[in-house]
Amino acid sequence: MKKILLFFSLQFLGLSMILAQPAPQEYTVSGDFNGKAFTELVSALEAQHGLQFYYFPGWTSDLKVVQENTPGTLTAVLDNTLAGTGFRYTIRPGGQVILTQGKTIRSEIRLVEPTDMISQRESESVDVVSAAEQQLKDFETDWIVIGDPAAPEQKPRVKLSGHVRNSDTDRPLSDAIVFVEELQSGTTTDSLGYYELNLPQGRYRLLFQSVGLKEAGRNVQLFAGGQVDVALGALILDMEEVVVRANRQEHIRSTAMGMEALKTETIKQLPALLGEVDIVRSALMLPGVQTVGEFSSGINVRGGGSDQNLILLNGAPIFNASHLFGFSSSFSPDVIEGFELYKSSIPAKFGGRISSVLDLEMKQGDLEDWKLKGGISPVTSRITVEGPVVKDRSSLIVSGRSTYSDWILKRIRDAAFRNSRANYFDITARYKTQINRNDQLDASVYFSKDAFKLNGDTTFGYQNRNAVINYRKGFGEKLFATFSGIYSQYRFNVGSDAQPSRSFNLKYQINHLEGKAHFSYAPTDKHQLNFGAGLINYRLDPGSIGPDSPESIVLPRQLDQEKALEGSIYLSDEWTVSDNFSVQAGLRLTQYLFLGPQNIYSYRDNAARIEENIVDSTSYAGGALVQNYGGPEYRVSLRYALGINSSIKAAFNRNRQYLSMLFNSATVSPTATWKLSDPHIKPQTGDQFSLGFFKNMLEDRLEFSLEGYYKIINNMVEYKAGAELLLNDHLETDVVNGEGRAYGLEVLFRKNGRKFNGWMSYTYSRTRFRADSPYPEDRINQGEWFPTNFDKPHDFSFVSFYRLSRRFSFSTNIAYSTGRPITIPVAKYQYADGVRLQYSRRNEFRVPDYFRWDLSVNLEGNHKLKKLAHSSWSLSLYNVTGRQNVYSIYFVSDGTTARGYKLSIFGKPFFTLTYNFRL
Amino acid sequence: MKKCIQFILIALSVYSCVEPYQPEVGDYDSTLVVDGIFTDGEDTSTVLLSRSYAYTGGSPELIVGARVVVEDENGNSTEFTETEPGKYQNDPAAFTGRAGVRYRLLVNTPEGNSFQSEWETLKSSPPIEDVYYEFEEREQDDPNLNPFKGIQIYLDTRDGENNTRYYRWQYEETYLYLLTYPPLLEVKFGNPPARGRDTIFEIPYDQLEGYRCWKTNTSTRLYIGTTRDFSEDIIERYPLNYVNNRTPRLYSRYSLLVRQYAISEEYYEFLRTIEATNQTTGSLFDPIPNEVFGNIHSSDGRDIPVLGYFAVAGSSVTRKFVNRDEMPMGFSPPLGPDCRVDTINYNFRDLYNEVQFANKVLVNYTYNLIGNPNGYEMTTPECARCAALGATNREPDFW
Repeated sequence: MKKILLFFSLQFLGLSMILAQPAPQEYTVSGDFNGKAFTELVSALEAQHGLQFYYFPGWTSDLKVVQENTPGTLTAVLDNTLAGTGFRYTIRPGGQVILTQGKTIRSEIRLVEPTDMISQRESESVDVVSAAEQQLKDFETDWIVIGDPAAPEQKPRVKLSGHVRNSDTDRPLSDAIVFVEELQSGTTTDSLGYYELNLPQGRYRLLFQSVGLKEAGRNVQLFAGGQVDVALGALILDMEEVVVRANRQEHIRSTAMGMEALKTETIKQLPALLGEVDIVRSALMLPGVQTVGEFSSGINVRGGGSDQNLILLNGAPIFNASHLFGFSSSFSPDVIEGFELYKSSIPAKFGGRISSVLDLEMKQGDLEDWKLKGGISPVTSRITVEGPVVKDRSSLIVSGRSTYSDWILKRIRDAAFRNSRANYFDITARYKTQINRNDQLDASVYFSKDAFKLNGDTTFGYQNRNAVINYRKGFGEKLFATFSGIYSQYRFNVGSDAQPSRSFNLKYQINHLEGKAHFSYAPTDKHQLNFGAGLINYRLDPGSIGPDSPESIVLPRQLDQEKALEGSIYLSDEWTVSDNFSVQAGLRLTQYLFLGPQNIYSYRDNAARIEENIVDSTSYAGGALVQNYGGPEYRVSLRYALGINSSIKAAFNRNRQYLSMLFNSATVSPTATWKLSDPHIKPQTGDQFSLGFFKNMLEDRLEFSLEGYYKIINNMVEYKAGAELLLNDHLETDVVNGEGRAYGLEVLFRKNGRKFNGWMSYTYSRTRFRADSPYPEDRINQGEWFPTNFDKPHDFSFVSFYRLSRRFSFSTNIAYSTGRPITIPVAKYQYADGVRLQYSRRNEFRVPDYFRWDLSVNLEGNHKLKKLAHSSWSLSLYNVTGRQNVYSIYFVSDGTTARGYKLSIFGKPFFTLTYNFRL
Repeated sequence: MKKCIQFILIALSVYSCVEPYQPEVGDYDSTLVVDGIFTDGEDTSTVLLSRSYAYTGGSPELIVGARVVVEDENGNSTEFTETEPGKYQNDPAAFTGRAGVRYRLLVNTPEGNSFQSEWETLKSSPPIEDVYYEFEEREQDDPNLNPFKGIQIYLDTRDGENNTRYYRWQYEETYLYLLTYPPLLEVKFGNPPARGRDTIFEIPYDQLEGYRCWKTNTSTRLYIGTTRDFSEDIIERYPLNYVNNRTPRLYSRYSLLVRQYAISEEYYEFLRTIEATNQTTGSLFDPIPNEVFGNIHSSDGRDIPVLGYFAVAGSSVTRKFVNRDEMPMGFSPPLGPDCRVDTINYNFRDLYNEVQFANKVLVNYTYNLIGNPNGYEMTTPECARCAALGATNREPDFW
């Protein structure tokens, strides 16, 4: 115990108060002090009764005595005088009168019994318990003397008994420990809180303990039998954050393969460019996830196209998950809890995309208090409000984000950019309520909007909007159901008002309306069944153009609306066959109906599918079935444990995709359109075989995994050379259904620790495409295999977080990958009065390799409990080495000369400072 | 549309950098290139035959001695004559295009391969309605520099019958600029030079270069347009070239000969693809470039790729003049190349070195106080002779 010398302060006395004394003697106040200064009363009483008053002179300078009777009692006078002042008093047996501020002095008497008891203070100096320990313990340092030292009981052993209760609830404490330190022995209380000890006469230190309560200590000098009663207060521990780690063994124990999960908490520690914490881009640091360009929208998972990922926000598909054409993902980090990415072992409940599912989980509002938080970065500011609508039952969270990036545009050394404007914002809201124990309602809405004005005249915009209602119901302990209604819409428009006679507005829109029911049922602890059914209604406006002003002579034109239904049913069972072996087997059946009204061209038999070969067209009435596709999708995963720390897994997955995105650029372009499968453009299917080895080391602190996969994609959609994809009512002439092959090996080490954690991964992967046909027009690269735009064989990433202290943390990441394939000119020729470029076959060359190293430092504000706002700073340094990573290589011929250029973005180290606050 | 595709990650361009890039390209297939337009009226039609050449190479390999024939669907044909190496032209008086008739090209190369084009129908071209200009200031990419002043040339055209729809334009600009130091003297060095056999004589009056040069350039960019998305076949304010005041083009008089071709949809699409693959912006939203093949293929069904296109198009022509007095105050374009004159010592050795090795031109003597030559005035060729910049000192007929 820490001892410090007492300097005389009431505060300390208040802390170490002890009274072992019968009811205090009553003193009379003989004079009339009513209305007089308190000090006058004090000096009179000190003179009259030899009392000693202890207080801070400052406390009583304005205090006037209130005395009702003359003569009155001291207690009555003090009660009246101090009423409402916040001061309290205690009269001690020795004649000390102590005033305290605020604090209640425990003046309960713990010890009385023996008739011939003398109590005395052992010493004027008192051991003082440090404040910190005082919080944990209730140690009194005064000595309780039982019996008369002059006439001790004539027995060597005396009986000490007492009662222990909880001071907060006043209920007796059973099984509390009463321990005699000197004897190293003790007893416990009975069910009513009583204890009894037989001790030799002498000095003892008694310790009283009960789980979850403060430990109490009493010093006792026993001369006779007696009683010591104790009340134990609640123990309020100021402890370090307690991290409960679940799922540490999940890695080896689950049947899932190719699954990655990241929490926003983790993502926020990654170095953020321009302070933009990017949920989707962070996935690029995971094995098997790549992108074509550093700042391009769309990710490629295990050699799949960027349209083959199902991006779900609270269950609703997002058709364009990026702002500013890929600069940042369109979700505010403040409202996303984290994500799960399924690269293989896609659960049967998901369907519709063949490469992966990126399931983003929305945060739910705080159930206890209303909170406001936000952040400011060089390009955006964001704000989030959350709190309980009904405490502990329903909550609401609303988050918004907006940009002010125009200042950047004005600094660009390009006149066209300086005359451009860019804006975006997104709003997310979620309401969740627990109706009763078994019923839960969860609704969310999301809206994002991008708008640009380019070089002063061309406007461009796109929007995502969606709404979700989930109703969860439990039927007993084993069966749970979720009923969902989902609406999701994506649209874009392009317009120009440069010339009134040419002003136009072009629009595109896709609507996704979905209803589904999902059940999970666990009949025994060996089986976990999931089953359900769903129906999606697609409505797609593939494009319309019209005049934007009365004088415009633009011809209005509208392509036929496309309509389709996609129905699905599924069943899967996760079956723990034995401790070592478990199986997850699922089957999903989908049926896709492409419906009229529709006009479908037919092409000459045995000829290339080009516009010149259109021979006829067939019209279908509204609601008529134009084409149907469908079939089973198998989802099987096996796990076999090799001991407790490692396992091997294998999986086979089939997925079907009835919706493809069309673009003819390296990456998803702003005018990329989604297209429903029709009689000519067939649905894509993907079959993936994967095999993995998983091991945990160092008591689960280090995870290792090795996964290999082979993927066959059929009917993958690629554009033909010179394709025109907008406002084209015969898209089948501009795209081809080809086949894709992807394979790879992914190695991952992950370290989980309190101070240091992170991961390191290496991936070798290839992905190739072939479009072969008897007709040259329907071939790409003469019908030979060629690498896709995102074929980057070697990929390495290293991510680490280091927490130096509770306020200070540090993170770094390193990314390396092979350069992406490109098509470049191999020769020049003279045509139409100028020099023109002759290009290689598609994707015959590569840009140089990519390497980047980032750092960031996060500083949390101080940890004071009460302050205006909690704040944090983060400083990030992007591209520490300043390597000029090639974003693109391009060639320009103005007719007289042809030049090649290499464009790198952020070819220098780039600092960002971000400020975040929370109220 | 084009602009939004160009709209590359705006925010990022600030810190981006662009560097020249030289691809390491190995082999390529040297491919036959056919560049021909067969037109109507009294204009000569030209077919150019060449081969593609290395990306790092200098000039195309011209195909000399080929047989070039254009035939119509009625069996009439004409053989083009090779007027310059690789350049084959018809005699419009003998055989010229007529609207509504289908034509095709037949080529026999000296190696013995034969090629033919698809049949193409000739559409007559409506006259160009107007070529005009407007003063426009152009911001430079560097915001700290003053904007350019200049004129933007626009073109209006219309087809009242809504028939043409697809257009291609070419222009030929001609402008007058001034020589600052046309030479008065000419030197003839003896052999060996500077050994006393050199002579300097005054250029006769009728052979003096004069001060005026006329420079003619042909457009090298592609100018194409379509009205297929419009209810009327009207092109308004189609931007041709921009002429700024940093060159002598607007010093005295500027002339633009604009030729309009009424082209087919296929040829338009072909040119549009060429334009797209030759004017990429570096954005990942650019369409991935690809080889572009036209309407010419091997006559015997072999799969020999041929670049280029044989177009058949009616044409119309108009000429526009812009005179200096139409320009506002403070326009001040330079009168010609930036020139200065250097003085060297009065001896043939220095003169020979200057002429032979520094590529300077003798302008005149310098004289001492009593009027005797004591040195030579030298200047750069572009300040002395029109031909140095590919111009001529003969006034064109249309001027």
